[in-house]
Amino acid sequence: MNMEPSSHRRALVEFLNSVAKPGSRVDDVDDDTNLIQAGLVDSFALIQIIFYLEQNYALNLPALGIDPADLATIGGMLAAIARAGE
Amino acid sequence: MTFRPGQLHENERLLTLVQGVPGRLVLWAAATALLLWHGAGVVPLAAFAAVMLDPQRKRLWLSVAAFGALGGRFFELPESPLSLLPAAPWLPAVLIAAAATAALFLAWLLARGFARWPAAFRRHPVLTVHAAIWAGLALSGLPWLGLLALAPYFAWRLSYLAVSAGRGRLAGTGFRDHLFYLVPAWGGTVTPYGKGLDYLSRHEAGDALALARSRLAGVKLLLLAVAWVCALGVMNIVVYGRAPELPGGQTTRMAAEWLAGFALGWPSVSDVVRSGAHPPWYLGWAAIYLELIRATLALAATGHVIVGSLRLFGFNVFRNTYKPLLAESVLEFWNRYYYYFKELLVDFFFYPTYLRLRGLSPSLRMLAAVFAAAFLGNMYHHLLAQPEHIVRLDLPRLWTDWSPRLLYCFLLALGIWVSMLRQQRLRAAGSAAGAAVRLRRVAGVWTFYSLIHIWNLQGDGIDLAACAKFFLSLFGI
Repeated sequence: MNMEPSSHRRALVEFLNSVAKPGSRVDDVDDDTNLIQAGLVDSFALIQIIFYLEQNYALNLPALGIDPADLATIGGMLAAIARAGE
Repeated sequence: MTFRPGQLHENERLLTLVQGVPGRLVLWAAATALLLWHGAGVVPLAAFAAVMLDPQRKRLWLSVAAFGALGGRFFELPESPLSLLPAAPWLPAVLIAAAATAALFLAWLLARGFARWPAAFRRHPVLTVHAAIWAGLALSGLPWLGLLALAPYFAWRLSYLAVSAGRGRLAGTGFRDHLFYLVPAWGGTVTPYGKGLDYLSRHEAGDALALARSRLAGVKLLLLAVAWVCALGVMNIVVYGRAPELPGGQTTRMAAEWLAGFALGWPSVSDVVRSGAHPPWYLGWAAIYLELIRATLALAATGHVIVGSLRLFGFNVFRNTYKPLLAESVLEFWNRYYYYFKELLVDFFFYPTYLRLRGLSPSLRMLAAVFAAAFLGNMYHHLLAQPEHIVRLDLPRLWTDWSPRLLYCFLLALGIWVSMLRQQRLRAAGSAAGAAVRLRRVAGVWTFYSLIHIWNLQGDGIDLAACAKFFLSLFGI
C-alpha cells in the first residue's frame, strides 16, 4: 500500500477502532501507549492487527525479526510498516 | 481525594510518601512483613532490602541473589557425594551453584554469539535450546548433580534469552542483565513469571514515581494474596473438612477450630475420581465447580506473591491471575487464569505457527496456531516439567499419567478456537450484552473449564478410565 505516513496512521486508527473493545476508541491515543495495557484492545485483537498488517502492508514479522508484542502500540505498528516498505 | 484500597498504587499522597526516606522505610517494613507471612526465604528478603537501599544497581543485586537462590536450591542434596564432607556442609551447595552459574554464563556467551551460529540453529533458536536440553537429560546419568534435573526450570528462561538473541536485542547487555531472570530471586516455577529481559525491560520503572507506583502495586498484590490464602483456608475447612496450612499462631488455630464446626466434609474431585465411588449428581457438580474456585484461588495466591515481589523490585508487570471467574468467554478465561503460562504458549507456539502459515485461510490458520499452543505446546510443557518417564522410555507409565491430560489439552484447544471464532462474530455484530446474557456466558465458561478440568487432575489412581467414569456419572450414566 503506497501511502504517506500520516495516511498510514489514519488507516490504522480506523482499523483499530473496529477491533477495539466495545465503547473504546483509539483516536486520541498517543503512539507509545500500549493498547493492551491501556485496556483498549484485548490480546486477541493483536492477531487481527497482525493479519491486517500482513494483508495491507505485506508485513512479514519473522523475516523482519519483529516481536508481535511490539505491535501493541501505534508507534510499533507504524515502525513495522516503515520497515516493511524499506 | 478519596482513598480507594484497590487503587492504592495510584493514590497521589501515598506515591509522594513512599518516595521519601520515612515512607520508603515504612514500605520496606510492610512489604517484608508480608513476604515473611507468605513464607519468603532469606534470599528474596535480602535482595529486596538491597534493591530498596540501592535501586540503581538493582540488576547486580538481583544477580547476586540469583547465585544465592541457586545455592539455596542445592543446599540439601542428600545424594550428593560431596555431602560426605561434614566439616563443610555448605560446600556442595556453593560448588554446584558455581557450576550452574558457569553453565548459564556459557549459555549467555553462546546467545551473544548468535550471529555466528550455523544457519539452521539461527533459524530455530528455541528448538536448538530444547534439543540441547533433551540431549542433556538423555545423557545425564548423574541425577545427584541436580544441574540437569533443573533443566526444565531453565528451558523456557533460556528460550526467552534465545529469542532475544535472535532479534538482536542482546547488544549492550551484560551477563547480569540476564542472570537475574534466569534464576529469579522473586521465585517462580518452570513457567517464567515476568518472561525474559525484553518483557521485563518494557515494564521496568524508569523514574522514582514509576518505581513508587510499582512498589505500591506490589504491596497491593501481596495483601490480595493474603486474602486469597485465607479464603482458601476457609474453603478447605468448611467445604472439605481439611486442616488448613495457614501461617499464623494461636489465633489462626482457634479460628480454624471454630470454622471446623461448620465443615460440610464434601469430597474433592480428586478424591471422588480416585475412589471410583461416585456421590449423588448434585455433589458431583458441586465438586467440579468448587474445584475450579479452589484451583483459581490457589493459583492467584501463588501468582500474586511472585508478581507482587517482581513489582517490589520495580518491574510493574501484569498479574498472573486477573479475575478469571468473571470471564465471559473461554478465550478470556484462558487469558486471565494463568497469564504467564498462556504467554509462554503464545510466544513459543502460537505466533511461530500463525506467522509461518500465511498462505492458509484466517480461520484455518487460527485453528493450527491454537492447537500448536493449547494442545501441542501445553502437552510438551508438562512433559518437559516431569521428564523422567520420557528419559527412561517408560511408555506404559507415560500413557497412564498423561493420557487424561492429552484429552484435556485437546478439549481446551478446541474450546479456545471456537471461542475465538465466536468473539469475532460477536465483535462484528457489535451489540452490547445485558446482565442476564453476561451471567449466562460466565456460567458457560465455569461449566466448560470445570468439566475439562476433570481430565487435568493428577495423582495416583487417576487415569483416563477413572476420569471418564466420573465424567459420565455427572450425567447419570
